[in-house]
Amino acid sequence: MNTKVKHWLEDETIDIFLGYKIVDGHPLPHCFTKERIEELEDLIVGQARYSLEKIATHITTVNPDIKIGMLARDCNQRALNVLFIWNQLNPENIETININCCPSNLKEHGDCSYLEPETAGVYKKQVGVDNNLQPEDVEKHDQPQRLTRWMYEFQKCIKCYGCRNICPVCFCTECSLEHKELVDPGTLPPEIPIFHLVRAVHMAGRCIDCGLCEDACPVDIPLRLLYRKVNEIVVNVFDYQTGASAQQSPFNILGDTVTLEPKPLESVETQN
Amino acid sequence: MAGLAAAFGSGAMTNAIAEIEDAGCIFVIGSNTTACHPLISRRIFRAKEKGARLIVADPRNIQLSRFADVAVQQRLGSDVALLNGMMHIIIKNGWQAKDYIADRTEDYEQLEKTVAAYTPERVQTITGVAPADLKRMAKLYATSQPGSLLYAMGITQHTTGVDNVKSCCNLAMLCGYVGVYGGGVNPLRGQNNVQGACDMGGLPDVFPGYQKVSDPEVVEKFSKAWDRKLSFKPGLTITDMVPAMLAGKLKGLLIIGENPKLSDPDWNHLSHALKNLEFLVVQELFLSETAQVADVVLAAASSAEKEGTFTNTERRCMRIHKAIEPIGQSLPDWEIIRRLSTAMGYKMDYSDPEEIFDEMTALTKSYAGMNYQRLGIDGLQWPCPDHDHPGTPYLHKHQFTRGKGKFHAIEYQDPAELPDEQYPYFLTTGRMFAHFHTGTMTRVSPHLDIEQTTGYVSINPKDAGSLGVKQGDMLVLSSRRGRMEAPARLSESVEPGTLFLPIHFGENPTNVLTNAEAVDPLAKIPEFKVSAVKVEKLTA
Repeated sequence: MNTKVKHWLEDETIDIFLGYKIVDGHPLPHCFTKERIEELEDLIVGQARYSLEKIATHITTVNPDIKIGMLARDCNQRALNVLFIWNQLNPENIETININCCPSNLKEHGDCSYLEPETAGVYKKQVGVDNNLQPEDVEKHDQPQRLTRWMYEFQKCIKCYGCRNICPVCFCTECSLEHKELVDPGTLPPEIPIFHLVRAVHMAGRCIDCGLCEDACPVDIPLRLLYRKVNEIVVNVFDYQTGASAQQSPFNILGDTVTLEPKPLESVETQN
Repeated sequence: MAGLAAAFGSGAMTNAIAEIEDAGCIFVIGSNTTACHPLISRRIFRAKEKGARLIVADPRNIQLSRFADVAVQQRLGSDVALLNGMMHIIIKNGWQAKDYIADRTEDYEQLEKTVAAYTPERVQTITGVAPADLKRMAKLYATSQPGSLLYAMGITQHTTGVDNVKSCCNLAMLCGYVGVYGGGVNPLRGQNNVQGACDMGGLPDVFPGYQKVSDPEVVEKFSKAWDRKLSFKPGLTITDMVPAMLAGKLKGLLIIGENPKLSDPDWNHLSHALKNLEFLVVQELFLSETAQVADVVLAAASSAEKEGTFTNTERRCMRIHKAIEPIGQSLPDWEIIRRLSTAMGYKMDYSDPEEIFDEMTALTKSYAGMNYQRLGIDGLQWPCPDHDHPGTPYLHKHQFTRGKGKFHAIEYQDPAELPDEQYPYFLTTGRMFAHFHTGTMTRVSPHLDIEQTTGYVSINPKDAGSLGVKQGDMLVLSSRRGRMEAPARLSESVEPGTLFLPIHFGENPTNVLTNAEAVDPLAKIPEFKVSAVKVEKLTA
């Protein structure tokens, strides 16, 4: 692997490579370059998981022609497909080295930090939503029960935006969660359940079930489970598997009479 | 910190943050944890979900109250009575840790005598808390072992701040929860590095590691290390500096990383004092309200632009790494101080912060075992006396730092100011989740500004109704010190008769109203949490 990356950097197939490096015993995302090629000795593949493609998106907004190589598990690949569809990254500028992957609904075996959510505590099982459940398990409760349980989870929210900030497919420059007409700002917990439902709706046809949001959530809200339900509806209605390919999604077909070409959104930084 | 030091011998959070998850009962008093210490609230939620009991005592109905087994809203400033009332019930039922008290503590008898007078009925008249709730609090805390007590500024920012802290210590020792994993008395510090600043001697009466300025041996040690004869005389607290400025005794002031114009009580009084200075220098990241009135502003680098360490609330000293070069002509604080000192005739010859750190650890026992190599990413918790020591997650394990834990018999005292006919409302102040302190860093962030663009005053809908006030109407608040305006936010989080103001907003300066003269006699901390005000609707 390291030899391959070295060749890529040397023959300029890529300008930078996004991977992981051990720093003081912790695997951290790291950008490897030709200028500091010796650092490749520290490039590691382990259980660490981060949305490297999100870093790639940020770099691309500033430097649209840069060629980026990166380590990719299945979840990174699915996220890349979504980012290609939404014109956030150009497939011609991205090279990947595929590595082992975590178990998800799509793949059973793997090797990553997110093997299983922790076992839910007794009180959480009693009044909240166990992060280990499947959508159909939750639906065994009647509707008022479900509402009460989800509201328990949402009430814990400290509005850190960690779910959005880590999400590989959250790339809008203007975020609906920050629109005061949709979500009343300035309160804790945020306006619920609308804060979480606005985000859930936006995950339809976008969420690639990486689970990083749930990993990032400091108060253990079962976000992955919520978005899994949303995408279950997408599969049922459109027969569309989000992230499975870079083919057009049912969510960005604009119709015959519209000739607008979707373009990458400009970030605030590039405008300045 | 003075209260903790008097009871235990060490002024810091006794236990590690991660241990909160394994507590049997968590008692949160005077801390709006989800808004002000969100990552500590994570531990509380996780403990609760694993089956821990949760007690919340706060004059406001806060987010955490929704998850509590018992949540009470004690009257502002009545904490000593509430805590004495809990101890009264615990002793009456024999739930106290008798062996622990006998082996590890002293002066218990006087405490027992004092709290005997705090019957649930008497406590109700002072605090407004119903006897049944008080009994449940006492029982849950004493019988769900171990109990972890968390507090923040809601306990300390009172004329009885030290008494409040000592009462927290009394309660925890009474149940044998100090020096045990998952228990403790845990003050949640208000800034990322305020523990570190105190540890480094950023107080008027101590050198690094709380070594007393008044101790000749200590002065001798530091005089030798720094090659200068040092003074035995403690300096002034910020509270004492204001009268000194007004009297013309304090003529020049260097302020590093503080914005007292917004954060200190009685804005008008302080502004007057600052004007009396001959020379004011402010070392800051941004042009804060205080920096705007300075004679010289020294541009400081942010934490992203420098190397060094922070010591957080759980006594954990951690490295920070420079992510970008300092912007413009700004410099790291240590470099500014180095140059300033050299220019003033005492040559400081350091090439980097690591050299300073090594000098400090050589002079400070609790940090002696630390160096940059060992700190790594996770850091180390003091005390860490030698290079093989793994650091100390919780204090007072076999014995208290001062030997025996000391009980203090404390009588309840009213806050300095209570509502009266002229100023009929209670006012309390604090933070909201989106901003930090005086907003110098957070109000320039577009994402945080979206959450809250201006100040506001929380008012109970019943009070708003009787004043004919709707959401967003401008209110005029006045106290004996001054007046200010803020838009109304109708909220059940405050009881009728009580108002809340966030402290972050210079255009609605909360501290115009607060009292600079109401301070704790020992710690000199002002009573930000209780003032009496009147409120009117602004008429055009």
